[in-house]
Amino acid sequence: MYFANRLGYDVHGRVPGSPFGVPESAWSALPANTISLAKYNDAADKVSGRSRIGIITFQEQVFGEMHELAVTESILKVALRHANEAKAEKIIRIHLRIGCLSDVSDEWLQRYFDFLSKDSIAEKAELSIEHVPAVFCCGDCGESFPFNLREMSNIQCPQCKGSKVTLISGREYFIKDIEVM
Amino acid sequence: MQEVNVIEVKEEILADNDKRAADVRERLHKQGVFMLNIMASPGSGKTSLILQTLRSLKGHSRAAVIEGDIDSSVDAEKVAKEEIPAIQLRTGGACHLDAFMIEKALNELDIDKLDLVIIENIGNLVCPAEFDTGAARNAMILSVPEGDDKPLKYPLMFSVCDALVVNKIDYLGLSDFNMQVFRERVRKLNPKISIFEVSCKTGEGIPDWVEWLKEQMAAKIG
Repeated sequence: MYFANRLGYDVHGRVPGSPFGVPESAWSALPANTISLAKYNDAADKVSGRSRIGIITFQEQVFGEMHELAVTESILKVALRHANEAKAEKIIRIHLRIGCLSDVSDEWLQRYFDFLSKDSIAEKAELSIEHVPAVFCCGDCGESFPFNLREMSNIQCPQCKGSKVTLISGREYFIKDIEVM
Repeated sequence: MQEVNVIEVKEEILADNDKRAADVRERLHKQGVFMLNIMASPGSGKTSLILQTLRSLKGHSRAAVIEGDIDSSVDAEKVAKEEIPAIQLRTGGACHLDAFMIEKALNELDIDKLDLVIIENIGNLVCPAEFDTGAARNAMILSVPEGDDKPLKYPLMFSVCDALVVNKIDYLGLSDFNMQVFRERVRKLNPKISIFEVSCKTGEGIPDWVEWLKEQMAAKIG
């Protein structure tokens, strides 16, 4: 898969069992290094009408991907870099701060992480995610207040009832620290 | 028993992509090419808007299109029929385009002969909002049949875009879409966003949108 090529280390090798809910039979039928299939067919050309279309295919479709996979790849890469610099032997926990405007599923993040981190010093590390609420600041009275964007529809300052509000937090996407041994 | 140490990291999760996106943006700026990233749900009219825009810009700017799709090239073929260069990115499952993919696509284009590159991102209001493509401006489409509650469900998308095109306004009479409520919801998430009400079918509103695009190109490239 395309993402694997971008990792600065080796994540090759088949993992026992079938990841991401792919049927075991389908997974077994794939080559052993499926996770690194990373196909980038050098732009095949196709002519349509009078113009040329370049076609770049990034990966063989093995199973669907959600953006959690790309996010996980980045988390692992950053954590390994810091752990290696500190000559740590094992990463135990990774603390993240993710704003609630982002639709990231904790469960999938951890599942992808477990899969990608196999045989690395981050194997079995726990992702500890702090969800940062959406906080708005009122343009009239300066009051800042948290707001659940998905449940309520009318964003209003609880202090002065003003509606000139600005989003001041909720877009975080941040790795805070890692616990290592 | 070994001691547990805490190492401060303090890094953005998507720093790699953000950095690559910044590189792409700088490179295109130097080459005098404006890149626009269009994001929206499947069926909201991304390809229709792009075709309308390209037709309106004929004689004004030399354009190319990067089409993102999970596994097809139908959109690129429609663009190519207009004699516009098109690159189809097949992500093979990935739900968004990122700066690394866009860079590969740009390498396939004859960039010296272009003023404008339009990216048609994967049809999805969630994932594409997370990944900076390196475009100078981000635009999104929300079509009337999707409903006026979408800013509540996909706040990030509405907050990262410079322009919002409300498409299929010819359906307004048939739906309970409340434009005023919708605009208020959007403005609270993103007070600076420019909003255009259009119908790609009738052509209504397209000139204002194209005018905005021309202004952005002029301001960015100068």
